[in-house]
Amino acid sequence: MPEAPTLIAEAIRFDAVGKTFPTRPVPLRAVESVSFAVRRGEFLAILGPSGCGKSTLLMMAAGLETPTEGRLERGGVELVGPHRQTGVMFQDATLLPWLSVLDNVLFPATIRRIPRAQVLEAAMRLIETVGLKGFEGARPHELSGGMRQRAAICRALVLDPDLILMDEPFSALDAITRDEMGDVLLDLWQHTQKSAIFVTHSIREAVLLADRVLVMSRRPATVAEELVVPFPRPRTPALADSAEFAAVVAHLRGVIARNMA
Amino acid sequence: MSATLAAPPRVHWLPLLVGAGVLLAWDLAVRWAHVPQVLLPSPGSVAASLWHAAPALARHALATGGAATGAFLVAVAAGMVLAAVMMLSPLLNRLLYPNLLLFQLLPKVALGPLFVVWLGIGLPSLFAFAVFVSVFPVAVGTLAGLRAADPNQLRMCRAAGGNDWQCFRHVRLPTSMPYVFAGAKVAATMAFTGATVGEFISANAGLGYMVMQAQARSDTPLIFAALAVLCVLGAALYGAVGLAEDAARRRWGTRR
Repeated sequence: MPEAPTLIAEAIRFDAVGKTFPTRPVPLRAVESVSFAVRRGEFLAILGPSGCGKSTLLMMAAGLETPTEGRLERGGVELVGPHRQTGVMFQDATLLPWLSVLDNVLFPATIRRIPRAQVLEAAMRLIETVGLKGFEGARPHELSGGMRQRAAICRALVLDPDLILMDEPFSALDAITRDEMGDVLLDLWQHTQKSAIFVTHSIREAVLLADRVLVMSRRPATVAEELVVPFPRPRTPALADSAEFAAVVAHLRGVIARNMA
Repeated sequence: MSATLAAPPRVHWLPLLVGAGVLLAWDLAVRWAHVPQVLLPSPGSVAASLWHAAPALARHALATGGAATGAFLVAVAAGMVLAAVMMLSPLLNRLLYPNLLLFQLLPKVALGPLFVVWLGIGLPSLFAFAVFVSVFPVAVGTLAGLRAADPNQLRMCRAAGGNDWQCFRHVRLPTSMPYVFAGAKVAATMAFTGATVGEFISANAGLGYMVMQAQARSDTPLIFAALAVLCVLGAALYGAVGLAEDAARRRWGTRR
């Protein structure tokens, strides 16, 4: 795959993208004419209620679903399938239970036929960064849910993608682990210049992590409102305790409530 | 954590005690009731027959064991290929799978004489028959295992850029391993059934053939001796499959 030209300032662009699933008896309209772009280095959160079609948006960005209308551009080129420079995280860790943590982290390299030695160092560094050092040889069933999702973060990042797609990656975790994972991600992401789309139904997560939040309508999903998060970086988890943070969260809650009415 | 992987400590002597008890009861019953040797030989006379006929038994055991083991290996390979083909081609799946299930229901052993008609008396028909009866559990089991792959893991594989073959190789195949071994264990038993029945009807060697010969001479102790050897062979192949499964589980950590 050709290297994306660096002149393009957008990592990914949705242009009037729509998606209808050919279900029976009535086709399911999941996404309705969505247009937005993620700038290079930008962290975009997509906030919306469960089942609103926001996951479908993300699956299209991952190249796993094709739009039925409109156009998707990745680095200025039309996206036609999974992109080598895109890392994906799912709701569940989806680790392969018969592989060790290290082999799971290296899985994208296995699939892309990249020699192990070439990415081993990056993999070990990531594993250390997320606090899984010493568990490289462990099997997924020996890890807690949070540790498994940490391994999944490493797997999404191991080929050094320029775009990370995350589909409610912490929704299967308990509240405490969930906040902790948000902090791990915040810390990890602020040290990179990667773009990210983070689908969530947690307002707190969206405001803490993102530069910009898109609030989606109910199905079929459209962009109901856009909010630029006014907090400078680097941010720390302590930000979530401030009054300003609470005000933004309250504002977004109001927006969502209006859209659900 | 690793303790959960290990099987609970097995008590070997309890079932052995029952076996020994049955042998003792058998021996006493035969002595006290004066059961004729030709109806039910005592364990002692079976043991004597095992000892005296040992060279012949070994020769015939080699024939049966070789045929059954070979047929088992061919059946496992063929069953896995058949399942893989049905998994990868929806058309072939639609064509073959209902027939495969239908064949599962047939009393396949009854088709033995047909193999003699087609392939004549001897090893080819016997071998083909043993493969035939043991291929189905492997094919059906493997297919069930390939289909049991987690859709989320498959999606993850595709997101990583995996094509159909890679996702088959890296997600479906490892998922199917416990199912393959379950099918292979049934196949190990079926291969010996097939080989022995094949020898009943179409052979001039093997333990099945030996049983028929002994029956013709009313040498009931020798029938029992041949059956005992057959049991040991069958258990050995089954045990080998179990050991292979344990090794695979240790290597790849597949758990059901």
